Amino acid sequence: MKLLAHFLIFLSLSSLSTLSSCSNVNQIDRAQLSKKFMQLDPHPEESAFRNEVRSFREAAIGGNSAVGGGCGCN
Amino acid sequence: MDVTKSRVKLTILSLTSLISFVQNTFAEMMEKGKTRVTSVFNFYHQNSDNGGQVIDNSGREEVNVFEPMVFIEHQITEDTAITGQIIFDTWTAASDTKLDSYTGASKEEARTNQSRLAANLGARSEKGKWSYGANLGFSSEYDYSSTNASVNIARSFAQDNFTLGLSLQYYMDELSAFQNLSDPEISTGLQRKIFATSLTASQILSPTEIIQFDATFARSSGFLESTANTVNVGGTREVEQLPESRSRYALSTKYVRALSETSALNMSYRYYFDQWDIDSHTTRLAYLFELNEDEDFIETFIRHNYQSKVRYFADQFSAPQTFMTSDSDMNQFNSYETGVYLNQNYVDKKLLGFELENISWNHGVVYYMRTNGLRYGYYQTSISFEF
Repeated sequence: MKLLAHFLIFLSLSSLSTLSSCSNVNQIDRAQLSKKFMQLDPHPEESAFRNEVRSFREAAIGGNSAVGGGCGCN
Repeated sequence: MDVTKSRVKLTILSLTSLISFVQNTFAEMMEKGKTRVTSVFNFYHQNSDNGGQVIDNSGREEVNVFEPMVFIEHQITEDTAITGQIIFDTWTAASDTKLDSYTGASKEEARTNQSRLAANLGARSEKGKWSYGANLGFSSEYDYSSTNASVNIARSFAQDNFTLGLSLQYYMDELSAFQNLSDPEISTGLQRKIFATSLTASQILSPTEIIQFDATFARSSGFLESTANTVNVGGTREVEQLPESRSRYALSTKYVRALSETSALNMSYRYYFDQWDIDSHTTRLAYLFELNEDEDFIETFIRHNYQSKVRYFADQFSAPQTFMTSDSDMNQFNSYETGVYLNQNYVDKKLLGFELENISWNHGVVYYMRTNGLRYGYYQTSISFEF
């Protein structure tokens, strides 16, 4: 558990340090990022089913809103 | 030891309370009065002959599901939209049929050819750099029902380059299950509660790169066994037994990078662990490329997941244990998944007197296999438009 705590602290510090060192990208320069294929989830509605299936066929959850509730999907 | 555990919990909860970017929280708002409708049709088939939980020892885990989903969003003011979702699914499952046969269920009690109806209603709003959302939902099927709620809040910083979000979900579920197979009387009103929170941060790194970090904590409590799951104890079938609580933790990151003006890589990694001794590593790599100026695109992906087995898992038991499961989903395995999606966009069309705008039509095919025998595949098709 100690290892886990260290891992979490390391991850959060490294993430924050990475993010804080970024320079801002102006709105006018975000044309590429606004394209559909550049979205973090380019198919959000399809992902609802996809993530639900995985949350029942695998033990892991996380990284999306499917947490294994709301369905008796054995 | 308890103090250490408390500190770890506190650390995780603090992290979770500090840092979840809900990607769609800052989804683009429509013009006031506009409505967006998306219908998704899912056709799913699964099979395996290796499910140790199946009551007749056949191991057969065949399932066929048809699940249409409808998402509706209506913009009531310039910065507020109401959202709704309706899901109806119908399925046949070999394990249900076997259970009916074993327990001598009457026609009214039979689990074969079940269906589920689920719906939720919510709202989302943007006020300056803040975004808020809330949802209320329910779900109902033969042996399971759920009432659930979620809220989320997000704030953007640094000219919208950095976004921090927090989401909370709560499920109050109720199910029916057999608790003793020697006298197969179904127990109803068994409670299951799930609380989940997720904290996400996203950062635009450059005009062609964006990264996201997510930390999720979920705690389930109550009756956590699956309705149709059994175990083999010295040649006799008994019901699955699992603890009444499970704490689950996940840390994940996603990175999108353009390779050119018309192509990109979408990569993600997740580490997951829980109180039942599961450790899981999941990686996904997608390549997306644009086909034309209408922004039609194709996404191809591969995904790998490894999980260790739950502490209480065994293929069979020689003597009864306090906790025991043979559910193949709880076993150790590697899984491999691949799929392809096509997104097509169309110019505005007039249909039944409505001027439809921003029409898109998607198709996707996914194939999945696990090293412990289970495999599934599904086809998804969706149509989306505004009016």
